[in-house]
Amino acid sequence: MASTPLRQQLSIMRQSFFDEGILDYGQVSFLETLENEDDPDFIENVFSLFLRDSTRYIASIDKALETTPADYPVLEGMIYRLKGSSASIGAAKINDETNKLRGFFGEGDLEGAKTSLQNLKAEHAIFKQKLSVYVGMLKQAKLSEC
Amino acid sequence: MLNLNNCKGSMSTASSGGVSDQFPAGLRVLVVDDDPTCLVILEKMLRTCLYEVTKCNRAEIALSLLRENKNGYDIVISDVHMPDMDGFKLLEHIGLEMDLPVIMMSADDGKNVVMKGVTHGACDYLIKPIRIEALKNIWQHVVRKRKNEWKDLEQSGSVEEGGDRQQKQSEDADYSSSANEGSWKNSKRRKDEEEEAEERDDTSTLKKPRVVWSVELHQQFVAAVNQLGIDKAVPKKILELMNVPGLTRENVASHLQKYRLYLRRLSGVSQHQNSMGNSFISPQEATYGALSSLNGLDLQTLAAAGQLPAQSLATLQAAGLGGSTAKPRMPMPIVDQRNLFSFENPKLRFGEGPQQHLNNGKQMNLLHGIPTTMEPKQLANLHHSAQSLGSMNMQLNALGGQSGQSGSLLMQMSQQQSRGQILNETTSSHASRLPSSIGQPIVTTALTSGVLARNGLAENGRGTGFNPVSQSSPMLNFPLNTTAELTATSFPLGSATGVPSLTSKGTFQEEINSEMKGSGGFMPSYDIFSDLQQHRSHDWELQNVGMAFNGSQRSNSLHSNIDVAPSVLAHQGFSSTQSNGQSRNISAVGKPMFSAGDATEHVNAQRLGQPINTFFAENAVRVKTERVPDANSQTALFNDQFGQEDLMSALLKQQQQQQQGGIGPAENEFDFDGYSLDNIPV
Repeated sequence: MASTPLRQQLSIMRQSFFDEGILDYGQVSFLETLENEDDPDFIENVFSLFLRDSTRYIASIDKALETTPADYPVLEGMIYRLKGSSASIGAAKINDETNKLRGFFGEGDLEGAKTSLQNLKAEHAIFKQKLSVYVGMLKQAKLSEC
Repeated sequence: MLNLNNCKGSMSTASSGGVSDQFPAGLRVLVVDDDPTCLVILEKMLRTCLYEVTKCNRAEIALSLLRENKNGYDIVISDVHMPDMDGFKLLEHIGLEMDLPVIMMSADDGKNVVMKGVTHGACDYLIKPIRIEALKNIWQHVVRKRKNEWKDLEQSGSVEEGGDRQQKQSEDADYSSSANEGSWKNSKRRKDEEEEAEERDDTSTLKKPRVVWSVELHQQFVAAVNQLGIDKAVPKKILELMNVPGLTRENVASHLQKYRLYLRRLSGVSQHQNSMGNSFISPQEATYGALSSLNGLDLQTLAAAGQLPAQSLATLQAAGLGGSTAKPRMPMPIVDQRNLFSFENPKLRFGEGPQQHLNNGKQMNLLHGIPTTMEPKQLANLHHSAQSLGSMNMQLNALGGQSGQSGSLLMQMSQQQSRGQILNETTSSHASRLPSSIGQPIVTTALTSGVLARNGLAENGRGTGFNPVSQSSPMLNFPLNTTAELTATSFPLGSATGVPSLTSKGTFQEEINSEMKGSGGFMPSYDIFSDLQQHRSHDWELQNVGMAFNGSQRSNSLHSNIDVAPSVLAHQGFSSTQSNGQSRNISAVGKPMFSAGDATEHVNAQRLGQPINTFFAENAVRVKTERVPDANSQTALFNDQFGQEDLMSALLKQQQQQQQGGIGPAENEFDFDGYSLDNIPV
């Protein structure tokens, strides 16, 4: 596609994600190769899915940690879901924080887990904000190119 | 990475030439994950690998999908942590009910959970994020499983056909090559066959007719073992107690070995799964328990059939065998479910030997929902006949004289037979009976299908659309005996081998027919027989079969195509693979059963997406009967697993029939190019 200003902007944003470590270059570029004419909105779709679900998972984790006693089964399920989806989508920082959280959880350190969760939430908020903009621009670019 | 990108996930790029790198395109994968992001990404990656993907986000849904379409999938990939059902539980269910290879996956890479996956029988455990390279290799699990089952079958009795098989294989290969464009397929098949043959050779020291461990035979065995006490049960004493003429100590010894593994697996499984465990408490108890718990349906069916006398045991065993996954399961890779059948078959074929399904019979039949009481067995037998594929061909051929249809069937059968190696020498004599078109003597006893096939049965699908058939239709083995008789020509099968199968033949036919109708899926093999016997040109149950497949949810519409008469496919076992070339990816898998790998070979990619399905379906269908890897007795149709081959044949037949009421053009369709399956949109 032509390198329109929108596209250029997207490209810059994308690169910044990699530079900042928000997104993993290898995984994301791989996902991009999966997109094709049969499914041209794959990237947008999958990122949108992740944005939505990760928010849900983190909310569940938060709630599970806050209940007394902590809801271990839910916690475990949510943590692994978030770990798996963030790894699959290439959300590197979220994945890192989830791993840390999982470590605390595994040791039964709920306080440590709660602190770690705050970090995770912070990273998630950044991710969500930036990627939402990116996805929105991506959709716009495609529309304008049709 | 995505070399496959050229296809961009569209499977229809398969070339008719059976490109080798097309395989395993068309592999029917069911992916289960409750996380939407992962599910979408996985589906995309799998499509990129040219697999036929069905996704679902709940284990319960996955199970019902699998149950509805037993032969509709070749492999399952499932997440570990799921809300509605633990992934391991799903794994166990699948192992017991369908005996499909299952790959577990998770972001959880803890050793304990990975170990749990292994002990529960997962073929593999992938850590997220899943690499596409890992997905590209999953087809190996399908092939391996089938091969193991095949091997089990072989080992259950004494393998004598090693040499024959090789010969057959090469013959088949030649055969198929003419029929299929897929050259790689052929070579692959040939190679696979050779490998199998070699394995068999290695395993069997004596060249004896293969013993088919029918349900009854197995029950006798179990009764003898129980009487002696599992610890004191030595082959010699068991043999004496069983008092079955023609059974050798070696037969019993190898069967005992399998049985012991089965029991071990049961106890192992029981520890893991509460649900399953209970049923597995003890073989006997387990069986009963299993009966009810495993698949109420199956068991009941079986029980109703009266087939399960010690059935519960058999079921249990089957279940146990199926579940444990640790060892190669049942001989019938495709037809797990049909295990029951496999038992049946053995019976029939006892003495014929070529293929015994030993494992099949034992294992799963019970568990799987056998559509009909009797039939399943029959089917199983048929399927098991992977070995007997040849026999099928044979019979068909023998009968083939009659109408185009039957002829084609026969042809197919014979073709398969040739592969099926089962054919005994008698075949040659019988073959004479067969219509010239068939060119093969097949008839006699199912066995040495190789003979038939060779003769040029329709191989090329000409009218017979056999190509698939030649391969290995497990079914053939079994049917041979029966059909032989049917044709009224005096198939040596019955007489020659003195195999019980002959006797059962009559019943078999009926059963088969009934099964076919009912099961739709599996029937193909049966159909053939019934046809043969009756010489009528009924349109093969394939139609039923086809329908069965259609039910599957697969994205492909293959199923619909498969309508063709599973029987056709079944018979052909290979047919699917051959003709298609494309879809044959599956053929590789299915191959084990049939004879040949023909089926698998064929799968070559004609079409990427579809052919595979078809192939598998066919194999599945067929395979089930023959090999029974998936043993989906019911769906035989497309069971992707192995039935594909069968399906193909069935399809072909149907087409043929449709076209002319006999063999005929249908072949074109079935033939490699024309596979109706191929037409299925991806």
